[in-house]
Amino acid sequence: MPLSGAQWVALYPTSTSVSDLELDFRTSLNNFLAALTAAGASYTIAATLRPPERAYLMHWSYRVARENYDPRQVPAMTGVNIDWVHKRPNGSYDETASRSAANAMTTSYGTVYRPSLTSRHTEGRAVDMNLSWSGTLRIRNAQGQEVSIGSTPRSGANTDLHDVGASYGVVKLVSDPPHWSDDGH
Amino acid sequence: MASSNSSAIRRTGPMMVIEQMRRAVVIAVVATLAGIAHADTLPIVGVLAPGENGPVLHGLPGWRSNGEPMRYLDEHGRAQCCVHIAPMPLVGASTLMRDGQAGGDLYVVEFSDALVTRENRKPLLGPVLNAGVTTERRSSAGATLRQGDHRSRLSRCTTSEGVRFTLKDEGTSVVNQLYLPLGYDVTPSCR
Ligand SMILES: [Zn+2]
Repeated sequence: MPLSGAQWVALYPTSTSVSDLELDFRTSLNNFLAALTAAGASYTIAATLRPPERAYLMHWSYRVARENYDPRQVPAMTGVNIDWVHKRPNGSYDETASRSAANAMTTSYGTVYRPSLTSRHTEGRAVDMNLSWSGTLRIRNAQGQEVSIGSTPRSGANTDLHDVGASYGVVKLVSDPPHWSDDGH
Repeated sequence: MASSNSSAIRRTGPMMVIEQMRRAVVIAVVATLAGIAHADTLPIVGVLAPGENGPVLHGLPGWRSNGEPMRYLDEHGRAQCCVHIAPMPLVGASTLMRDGQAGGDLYVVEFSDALVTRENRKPLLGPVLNAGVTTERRSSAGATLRQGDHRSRLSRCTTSEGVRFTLKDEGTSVVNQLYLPLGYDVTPSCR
């Protein structure tokens, strides 16, 4: 089984593609994006699906490297063939090498806080995107009514736009400016 | 009009995605009549965060490095010496918008490509102090920054996938908030 180490970091990248999202949210988001496009707004997607495998690798490398978690106790994840336990040539457990490899992963990931194992992103139910437009945005909501948004900011922080997004099932999480999901979490 | 890459099926390297997300650092001035938050008027010049090839600085508008070593606040609110930030211009201008949510002004500060030359194996995330700023009353929740006669309280907390720095001027009660996306999900600590 491949040992832990920085080479894992390039695997399971975060997607920026809408097509990687769960079907219902994908449909909702596509409809919202189509309305934005029709209204002349611009959007740039920074993240859609964060693979659960990536969250698993980020979480447990952080726990081992930064929280002194015993690498021998890290639970396995189906489909992620990683060995967190490094051994010496004589077959005995090498704690230093095990923690060092986990530390190389956190450094390469750039992890500063303990990553969550699950989130709306790992479930394919969230998107991070930046939105902008100029002037008054005339956009249709999911009921087909035109909504005129002259308020500011002309970005994803606009509360009138939040209502339009919600009509499509794309709900704003206010604490995180780029983040929208199917339930606002 | 949608940007050309918005609908493309595209995957990028892990740090690339974080870099893309961090191209916007958001500072919400939540007090009324707060004026323009600017590196010259704040005790911090920006925030260091992990980048593709080591730490990068997300700089506030108007600040440029003169190559002098600069101190930064670690996660315990302690001023650490030092980071050497390459003396190159910050990339992109700031965009000023109204923040309907907070009732104040909102900045979007473009990502800075300024290089941070510092040997540190541990990923670093913390505000860089303006020259002459001293720290008092430090804790893991933040620190009081003193700039001449001015005191402000800087605190940090995590949202669902970012870090929020809050800077409250003790004299004017003006509050600046700065949000930095992490590129991964965490347990929120912000109330
Ligand atoms: Zn998100």
